[in-house]
Amino acid sequence: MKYSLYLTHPEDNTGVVLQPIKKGETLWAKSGITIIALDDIPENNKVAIADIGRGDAVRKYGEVIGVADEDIKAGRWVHTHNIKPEGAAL
Amino acid sequence: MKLMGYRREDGRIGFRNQVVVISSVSCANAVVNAIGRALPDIKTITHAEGCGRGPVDMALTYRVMLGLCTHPNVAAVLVVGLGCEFIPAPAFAGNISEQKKRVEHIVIQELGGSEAATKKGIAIAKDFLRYADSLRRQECGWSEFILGLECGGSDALSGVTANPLVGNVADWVVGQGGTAMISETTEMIGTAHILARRSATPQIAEQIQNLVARQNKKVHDGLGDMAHLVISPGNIEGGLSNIVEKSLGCIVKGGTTPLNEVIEYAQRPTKKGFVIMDTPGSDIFSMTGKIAGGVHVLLFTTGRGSCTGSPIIPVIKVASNNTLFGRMPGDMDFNAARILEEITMREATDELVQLLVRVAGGEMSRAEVNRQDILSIMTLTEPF
Repeated sequence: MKYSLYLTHPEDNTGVVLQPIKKGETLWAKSGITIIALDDIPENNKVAIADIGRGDAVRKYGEVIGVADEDIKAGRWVHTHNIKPEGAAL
Repeated sequence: MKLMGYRREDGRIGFRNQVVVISSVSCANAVVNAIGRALPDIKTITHAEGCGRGPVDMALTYRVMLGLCTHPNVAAVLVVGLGCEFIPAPAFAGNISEQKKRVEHIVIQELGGSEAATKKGIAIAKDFLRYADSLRRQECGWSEFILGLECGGSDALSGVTANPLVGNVADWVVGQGGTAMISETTEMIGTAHILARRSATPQIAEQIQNLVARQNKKVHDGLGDMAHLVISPGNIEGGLSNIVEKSLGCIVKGGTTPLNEVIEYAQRPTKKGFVIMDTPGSDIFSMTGKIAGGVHVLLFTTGRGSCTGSPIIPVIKVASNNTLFGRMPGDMDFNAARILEEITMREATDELVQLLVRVAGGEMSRAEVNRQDILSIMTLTEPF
């Protein structure tokens, strides 16, 4: 069994996909979490592993990397199209 | 796990026993190299500095060179000067001696040229090698250990595998009472609020925020409207959504413990625990600053592949992905991508800690086997 999902921190609501993912594929993490992909997701990109409401914090590494710009369902691709940076110094 | 090191006369503990031959000015490099060819067991340090720059850079270079020569991994130092340079070998050797390090100096112009200087230098270095051979390791505590963390040639998995892994090792070292140092200020842009939150005092929080803001301004001054492209198209393609996420992948190397001190380039930390040194992101300048500041061993994470090392300290390469580990096996010490399939993060942390202890105790890192003795001193102004 090749794991296709990696979680960087227990408090994260996103995971990293380890291969290119097709919509409808089931993603497996070593922890036992499974998620059905709702989008095609490029390798090493992020997937929502829980529903994230618009304006909610998006977490990776246990830290806030941005806020959701729209409602993001578990299984959706998370990237520049649906999150905006928060706390960025730039 | 027992940590074995060399107790130096200044009280510090070292994990290598190097005899260093260093030029006080770049004009003396050829004599240093000639001594090195005759005695492969010594470590030569050559550089492009020592003269022809303004006071700011002369002071900076002096601090870096003094930090390198008085490093506890060094048993003895021979300084090779030309005779007319800004950093005079006798005065520089005098400052090394004040810190209780065994040191000699030679001046090429006074000895009648490079051939005579080389001959005398070889004789002195041979004596130093005998002295170094007479020294023995003894058990020491982690409280004196300074671990350095560095990343170079990163890829999309660096922040997922290798950097969190070395971050765990940093936490482990701090947990034992030791010190873990990150640097590369450019790669902290966007994370000042997180580092401030981790700061042990409000003063340190203010310091790190000012430091990152200053670096951010530099990026803006240098790149103008392109400043937002401090995150590259390749980063975005690799799945990084913004600068916060990118920098987080970098600062995760420093683990999770409170930030106890922020220090300048090539300065020694005065606090234990997690500390930050202000350096460029460029690997060799950054490494040289940290080593001059007293870092004993570096954990160096890489995704694309790096083959840098140091004449003074072991540099342990941690690969972020299987492809790299397979492609550059002679340069890599540890494959962090194993946490994706084979082993847990905890198991990988234990393994890397054990490797760190073995390397500190004398086992050679790949960079040492390959003699990748690289060093560059940072400068701030134009030469004149």
